[in-house]
Amino acid sequence: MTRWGMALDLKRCVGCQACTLACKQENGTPKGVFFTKTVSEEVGHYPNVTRVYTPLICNHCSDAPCLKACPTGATYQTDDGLILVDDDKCMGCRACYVACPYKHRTYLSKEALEKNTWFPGHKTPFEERKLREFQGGTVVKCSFCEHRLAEGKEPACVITCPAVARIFGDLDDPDSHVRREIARRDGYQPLAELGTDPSVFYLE
Amino acid sequence: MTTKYAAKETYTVKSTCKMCLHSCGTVVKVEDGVITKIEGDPSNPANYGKLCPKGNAGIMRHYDPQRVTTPLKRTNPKKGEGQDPGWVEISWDEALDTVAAEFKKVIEDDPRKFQPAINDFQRLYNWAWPASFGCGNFFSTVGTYCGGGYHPVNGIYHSTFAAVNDYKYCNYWIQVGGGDGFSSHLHVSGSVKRMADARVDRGMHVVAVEPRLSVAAAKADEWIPIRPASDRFFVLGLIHTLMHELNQVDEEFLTNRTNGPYLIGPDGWILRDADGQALMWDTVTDRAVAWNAAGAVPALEGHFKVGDVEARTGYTVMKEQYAEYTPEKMSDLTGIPAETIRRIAKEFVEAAKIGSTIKIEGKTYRYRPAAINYYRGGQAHSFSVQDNMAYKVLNILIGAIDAVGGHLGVLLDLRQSWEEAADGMLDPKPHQLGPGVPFSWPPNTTHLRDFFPIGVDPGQLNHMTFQDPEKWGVKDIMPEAMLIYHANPLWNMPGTTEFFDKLMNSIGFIAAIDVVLNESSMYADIVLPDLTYLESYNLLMIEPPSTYGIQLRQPAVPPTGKCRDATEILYEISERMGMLKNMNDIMNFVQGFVNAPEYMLEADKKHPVTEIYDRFARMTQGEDKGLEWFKEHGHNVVERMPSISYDPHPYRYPLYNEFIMKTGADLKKNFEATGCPIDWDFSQYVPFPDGRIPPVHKEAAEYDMYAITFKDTTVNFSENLSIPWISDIVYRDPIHMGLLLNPKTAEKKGLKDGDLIELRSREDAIRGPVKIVEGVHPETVAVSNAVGRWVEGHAIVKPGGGHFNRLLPSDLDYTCLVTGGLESVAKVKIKKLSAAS
Amino acid sequence: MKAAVAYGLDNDNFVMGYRSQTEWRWLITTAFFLGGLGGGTFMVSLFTGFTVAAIVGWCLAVVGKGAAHFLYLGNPLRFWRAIMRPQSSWISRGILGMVGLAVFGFIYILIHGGVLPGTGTAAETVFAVLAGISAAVVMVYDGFVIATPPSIPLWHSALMPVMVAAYSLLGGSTLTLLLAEAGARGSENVATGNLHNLEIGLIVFNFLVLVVLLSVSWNASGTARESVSLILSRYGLLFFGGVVVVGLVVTGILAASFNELSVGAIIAIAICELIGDFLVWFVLLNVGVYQPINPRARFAR
Repeated sequence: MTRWGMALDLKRCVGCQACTLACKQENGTPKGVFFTKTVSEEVGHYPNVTRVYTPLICNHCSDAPCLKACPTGATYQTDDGLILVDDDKCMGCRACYVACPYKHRTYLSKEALEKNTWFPGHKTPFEERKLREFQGGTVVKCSFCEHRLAEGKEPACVITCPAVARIFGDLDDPDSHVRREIARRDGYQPLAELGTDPSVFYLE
Repeated sequence: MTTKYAAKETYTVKSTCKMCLHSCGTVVKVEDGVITKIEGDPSNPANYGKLCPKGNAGIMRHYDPQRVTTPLKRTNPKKGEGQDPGWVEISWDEALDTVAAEFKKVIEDDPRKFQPAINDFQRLYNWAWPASFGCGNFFSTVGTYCGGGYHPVNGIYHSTFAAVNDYKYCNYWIQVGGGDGFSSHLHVSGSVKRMADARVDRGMHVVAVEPRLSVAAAKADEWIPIRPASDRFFVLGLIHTLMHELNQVDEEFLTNRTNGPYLIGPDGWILRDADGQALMWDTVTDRAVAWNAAGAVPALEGHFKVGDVEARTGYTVMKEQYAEYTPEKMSDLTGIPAETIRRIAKEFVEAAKIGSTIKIEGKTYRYRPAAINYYRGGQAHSFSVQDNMAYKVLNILIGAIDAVGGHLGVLLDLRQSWEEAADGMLDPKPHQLGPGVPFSWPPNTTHLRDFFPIGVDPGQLNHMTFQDPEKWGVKDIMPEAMLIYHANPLWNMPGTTEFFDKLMNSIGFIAAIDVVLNESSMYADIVLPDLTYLESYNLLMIEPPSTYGIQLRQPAVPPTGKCRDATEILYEISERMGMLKNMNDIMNFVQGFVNAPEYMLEADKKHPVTEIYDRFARMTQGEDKGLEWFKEHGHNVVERMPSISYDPHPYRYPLYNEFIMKTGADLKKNFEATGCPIDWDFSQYVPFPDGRIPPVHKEAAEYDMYAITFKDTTVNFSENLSIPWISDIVYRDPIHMGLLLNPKTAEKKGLKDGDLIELRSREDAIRGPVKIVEGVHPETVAVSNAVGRWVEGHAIVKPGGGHFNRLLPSDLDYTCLVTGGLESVAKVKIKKLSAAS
Repeated sequence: MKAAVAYGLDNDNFVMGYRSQTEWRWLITTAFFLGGLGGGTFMVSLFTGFTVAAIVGWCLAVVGKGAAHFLYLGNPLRFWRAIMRPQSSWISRGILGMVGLAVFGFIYILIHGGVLPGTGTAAETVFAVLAGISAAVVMVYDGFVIATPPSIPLWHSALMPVMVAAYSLLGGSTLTLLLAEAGARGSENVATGNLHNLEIGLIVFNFLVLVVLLSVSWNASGTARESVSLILSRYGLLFFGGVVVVGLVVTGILAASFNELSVGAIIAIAICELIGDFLVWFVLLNVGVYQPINPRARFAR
């Protein structure tokens, strides 16, 4: 079996947000919706201070609280471990949103979808085309660019990352690059203690 | 070949990015006529398929509803903030006829009354357009502000436009005031990968020296906070430690590959024999011999008597002067502990492995895997030439210049040649962007380019001369017409709103060529709409740090509205001014067609850009690689060959830089010969960097804080905040939310997060909210490049509290009188305007 | 480099730190409130046999809570899908409870009220039991909805279903008392004294549960503590003024002071209690704070 997963290298990441915008392009996410982003954090006190950049993305947990919380079956898990939302089934109750410990889900209201254009009162041709793929009144999230995986391509954030801080691959394959790096660098899952078994690992 | 976009279907086009001045390879995806994705071209080693956040935001520039898509004419004669220009659409013919007639009127009267603000960096050849009719003005600080000193000094030391450490082999990388490999500068996306590979895969040690915790500083193994505008003193402290305490320099390299052993007379000039050859001291025969004397073993150090003349080697002159730059003294100036300076010097020279070699592709090269790298923050100071020279000298001292693992020259594009000058020296090429302007008094240029024989256009001096045209000799050439082309001079130049408002209103006619309007083009009488990079051609490669080759920008979609290519717009204007030949002459010159007459542009034709690129491609890449080849393949970029990366020439480096001295001496002669009354500090033309203190440190005590500005990958090189995707993420990052202050400083001044404050320099003031962060030097207030736009009427740009550059005095004190570089640090005082709400 | 990190709460910016849930606010509070109140009232009615209370409870739970949810949904017409995941989703279970209450409760009311034949027969008992089970689910499932996922430490507590149940019964007994004192038809058999005692007991119990919840959370993870500090600061007035003083203290004092409850007193108690009941869920939902995602990253360089 395949279990898609990602390793995020905190040493390599420079917090440039290329991933954030590559995702925006690829998925055409509306204003206020980020399927991935990088957050920063100042650590220490001057002069012994640094800034840590942490990329965030849906962890596609093996034991996903959002999946359990979804009452309609809109959220589902694919055979290769992706946690996806079937827009046609989502009724917009947001139980998944409060259930995700990582807050990686976003509710997209019909109003926001219609009105939150990038330029006030104007939908660019890009938005005209891309926003069609969204349904208002549903919860949206990262799909690991499932449509790209289907074409044999890696997710958009992965291919664009200037620092090569995102390694994507099959966690079930012990010889995959991502698995080997996780082993070599002692990668760990975010909030692993919650028992969600994320498919995203961090490398330090 | 038909263009792909004729077909209404999904297709991809190989092209290049233009979201900054560099040019990463891209693959643009179009679906049903709509650009839906821009990705890096994985086959292009310039960026390995990577794109920075800006490159990922290009779609929103292209589809900006505020793009100008038809020629516009102003109907409201009143210009300035708050005035609606009252644009009306006009035909191309009317627009071009008007522009040409107005320009012609002025140019025929006196071309010096024409002011160009041309910053289209990827069409550098168009910067030369005003030269086609004899105008040398430059109404902008682009280039000056970042690289005013940087580029000419790289031209002098490397014969290249830029320089960067060797990502592939460097093991110990000191970075001073630069974003290379982390956040900005040369091909940022590819360079971030190269740097990450070096840091993480190879364990390269990085030391970042900055007043602010930049990305580089955050990712470095060590951040050394430094007082702003004192970078040179840190470097001098390192040099002192190497020369006087560790006694570790690359003597072999200094002796054989620099003019360190050349003998210097008491007057500071190199001693020469009757044939004009520089002299060295031969330790075999114990006498002075010509630099190229066979069998000589030159002395690197020492005092010698040549005839009656007391002589010292160049190295000795420097070493003796550097005796005073002790770590303790440099510590006082930089705020860096002396022991840190000593430790870094030791680590640095040990990592340099002086004397070692390495074999690459069968050839043996010098191997010096340690180097100091820098960019704007490290050298954009009043004595920029010296700051730049200091880094070069340090790299030369350990033999790291142009060595494997060291500090390497970076070409502007394909043009490179390393030539031999007198005395076996590398021929200095300070003018990488085109020839300078000959000296004249009164000056022929309003920014006094005439006085900067080896400088880049010091655009900031327009502000100075326009305020007192009589004194500066420019009263007869005050501007009467202006072209603003992909430029926003009011944004990047120093000067108050009142000053610019008065100046812009005094100019009879202003035309703009751009994609969107900005603070400056809002003053235009006519606006001519250019194509975006997603609908135009260009054959280029700008400042590639690690690659070689060129690539094609080609349209992914047809032109929007009535937009036309800027080069073709200039052709139209030239033709209507009756100056078509002038334009073709200048194009032949800057494209290098003059050297290959079979490719020369015919004087009486308007040449489509595709034809110019086709000729350029065939001339430089071979007859089989014309435009059609590039349309199909996109690029011929390869990893840069070791032969042009490492020791690309056998000549000597100017450790003792007599060329700069000589340039100063010649300039002084010109001043004297013409009776130029301007008080000019010729002492800045030095053969090596010294310890003189930039005037910014000597401002009145009431200005107790250093104000610096900084950028980030998202706001790297313009075209930023008007793009909603960019501003959406920029303003979510605390460092762009206000004026950054250290908590201790804030406490001392009784300031809290969010308090509205004013920063006032002796020149002007800006305002903004306080943002307290740990990562900033306590004597510093750091101002993001994203703070302070004031454009009105743009739906995306948030008006701010004024641009940082307004704090900078634009006088001669704050300008490097050798390179024209501008001081980028201002002394300010802080006033609390209101408490946080 | 090890350093104590004081995280801020920031929902909009790209900084590491606490983030709060911002979706479940007024309407979900209303749904929680009406579900508890209605379910509790219906439940109490099963023991008192008070038909009017059963009808009111049924309406509040089925119609009121249902409407609040319906209004809240992004795609309300897909509401029927909510029953698809009872094996894991407490919302599915809860909705099944709602359906059960709607159907069995309705039939029970008809039988008990004499509209359908069978009053006093085994059929009535069967429907009473089925409706009672459904009402119990409706009363408590909201507590399980927020307590089950580990996402929000304050909520991820066994106390939540307990609190939901206790507040439901408190609301139910209050409303029953109110209806009884208002002289609604059929109220004469209601043992108001017992309800009165239950009311006071639940007030004390809820007070203790809140004290335990807040003190445990304050001493637990930084995130639950952040929730508590929001309760103490941003929601301080609503919590102490509304939930504690009005909802418990004043209600308790009023309830304890009136041995023979007057209509006015009951109305005052009811208003105070219902305010507290509503606000406790409003506050607890609004202070739902997620953990910073990756605390280990702060040691990276």
